[in-house]
Amino acid sequence: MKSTKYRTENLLLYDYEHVEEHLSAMAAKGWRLESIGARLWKYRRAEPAKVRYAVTYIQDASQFNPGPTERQQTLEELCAAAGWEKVCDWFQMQIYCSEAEDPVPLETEESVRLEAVHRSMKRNYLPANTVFLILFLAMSAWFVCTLVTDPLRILENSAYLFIGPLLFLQSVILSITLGLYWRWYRRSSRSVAQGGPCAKPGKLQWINRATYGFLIPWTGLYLLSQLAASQKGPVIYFAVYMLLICLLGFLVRKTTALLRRMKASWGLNLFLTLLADVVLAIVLMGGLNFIAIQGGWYSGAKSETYVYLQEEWDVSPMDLPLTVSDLTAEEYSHIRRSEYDQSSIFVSRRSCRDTVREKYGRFWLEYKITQPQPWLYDLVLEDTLSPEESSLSVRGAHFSWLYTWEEVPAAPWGAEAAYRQSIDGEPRDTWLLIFPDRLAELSFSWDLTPEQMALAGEILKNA
Amino acid sequence: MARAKFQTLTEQMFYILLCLRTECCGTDVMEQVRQLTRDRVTVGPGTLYSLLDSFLQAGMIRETRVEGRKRSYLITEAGQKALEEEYRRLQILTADYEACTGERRRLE
Repeated sequence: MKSTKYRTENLLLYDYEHVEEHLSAMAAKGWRLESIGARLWKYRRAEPAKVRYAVTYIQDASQFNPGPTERQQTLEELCAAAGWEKVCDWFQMQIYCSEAEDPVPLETEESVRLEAVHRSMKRNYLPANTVFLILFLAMSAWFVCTLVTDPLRILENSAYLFIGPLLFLQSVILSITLGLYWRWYRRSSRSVAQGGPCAKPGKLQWINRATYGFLIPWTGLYLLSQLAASQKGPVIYFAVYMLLICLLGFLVRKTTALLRRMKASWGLNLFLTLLADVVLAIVLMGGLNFIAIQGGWYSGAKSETYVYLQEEWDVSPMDLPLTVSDLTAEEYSHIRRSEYDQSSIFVSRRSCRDTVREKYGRFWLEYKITQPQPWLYDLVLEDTLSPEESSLSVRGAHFSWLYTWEEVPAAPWGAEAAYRQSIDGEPRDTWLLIFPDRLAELSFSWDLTPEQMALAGEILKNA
Repeated sequence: MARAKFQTLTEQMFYILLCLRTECCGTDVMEQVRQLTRDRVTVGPGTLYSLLDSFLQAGMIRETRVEGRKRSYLITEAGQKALEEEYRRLQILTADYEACTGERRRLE
C-alpha cells in the first residue's frame, strides 16, 4: 500500500476556504498534506481523522528564504499556543492543522484577513500574472498585426499556426485569472466594510477544463498534421522540447532547494536561481536546436559525407525531383544534395539543392516548389512577384538592393507564365515558373539549353 | 495612512491595546483578552499576528523583548492616545444612547 501520493490541485492561492475544506476532506480519507511543490501536492497516509486545517498569509514568506523568517517564527509561536501545528507553506500561504475539537480560529477578524491576503497577493501573484499578461498580449498583438499585414508569413508556417491561438488562449486565461481576483477583492472589501465575511472566490476548475479541452486536441491536431505531411522532425522536436521544459523546471527547483540548504540569503538565492534558469534554458534549448539542425530533424537526416577538393560530398546522395544529372544526362562522381520541407496545412513548400563536381567543373541548381491551397494561390503569387528590398551593413557601409521579377516567354519552360529575377534591374539566373497549382522558383549555375528548360519545366510541373 | 486606518478600533484591536498597557507577549495577549471578556471575544493567532505587525508599523506599540521566538510588546503614547480616543467615542455613543432612550421613556 502506498504511503505517499502526489496530486495536482486546482486551487487558487487566495481561496483559503476551499484549501481548508479540501485538506480536511483529504485527512478524513486518510491523507495528510506533507508539502507543496511547484506543481504537485504531497500527501502521506495516516489514520482517517477529523482534522481542521486553517491558513493565514505572511507577506515576506518566500521559497527563496534560507528558512522560516522571524515573522513566520513569531506566527508559529502564536499558533502553537492556540493549538495549531504548522504543516507547510504555499508561497505566502501558511498552512496549519489542529486535531482539537474546537480550536480558536486562526483568523477572527475578516478585515485583517482580507488585508493580509491582499498584501500577500501583491507580493508575487498579481505582479507575476500581470507581467505575463502584458507579454502574451504583446505577442498576440504581433500575431494579429502579422496576420493582417503579411498573412502568408503565418499561413505558410505550421509552428506559427499552432502557437498563435495558444497566445490568445494564454492571454484570456491570465485576464480571467486576474479578473477573478480583483472581482473577489472588490466584493470582499464591500462585504467586510458592512461587517460581513470575505466573498467566495470564483472556481478555477472550469478555466482549467476549458484550457485542457482546447490545448490537448489542438496539440494533437498539430502533431498529426506534421506526421501526415511525413514531417517527423517537428514532432520529435516538440516531444523533446516538452521533456526539456520539465527537466528545466526540476533543475531550477533543485537549485533553489540546494541554495536554501546552504543558507544563502533571499537575494542571493533569487539571483542565482534566475541565473541558473537563464543559463540552463540557453544550454538546453540551444543544445536541442543544435541537435535538431545537426540531426537534420527538419531538413532530413544528415547523410554520410567525404571531402573532395575541400568540399563535403554525399556518400549516398538522396533522391530529388530534379537534379543536374536529369538535365545534362551525365553521371557525376561527386554529388551533394539537400532538401528542406516547410509546409503548413495551407501552403506546401519544398526547397532542394543539388551540387555536382567533376574534374572539369562544378555545377549546381536549386529550386523551391510552392503549392498553396487554391484559395490562397493569388495571394501567394502576388506576394512572390512583389519587389523585395534587401540591405546589408558592413563596417559602417550600408548596401541595399532591390529584387524584381520581369515577365519572360513561358513557352520554353512549358509553363503558364514565367518571370526572370533582376537585382537593381540587372537580370540574374533565377526564374519563376507559374503552373496551375504551383509556383516553382529555380536557379542554375550554367546557361540552360532550350531542351533543358523544357525538361526542367516538365519535371517541376509534376514533382 | 496609519491614523486613518486606526481612527476607530475594532473590538479586537481595542482589547489587544488594552492588554498591552502592561508589557506582555502575544500568547499572553490571547489569553488575557479571553479572560477579560469572559470568552466573549477571542483573538485568533493569525489575526493577532497581523494586528501586532500593523500596530508596530503605526508606532502604536513597541517591541520590548525577544526571547527565542517569544516577543513582548508595550503600548506607546500613540497607542494609548488611540485607546483613549476609542474610549471617549464609546462614552459618547453610550451617552447618546442613554439620552435618547431616557427621552423616549419620558415621552412614554
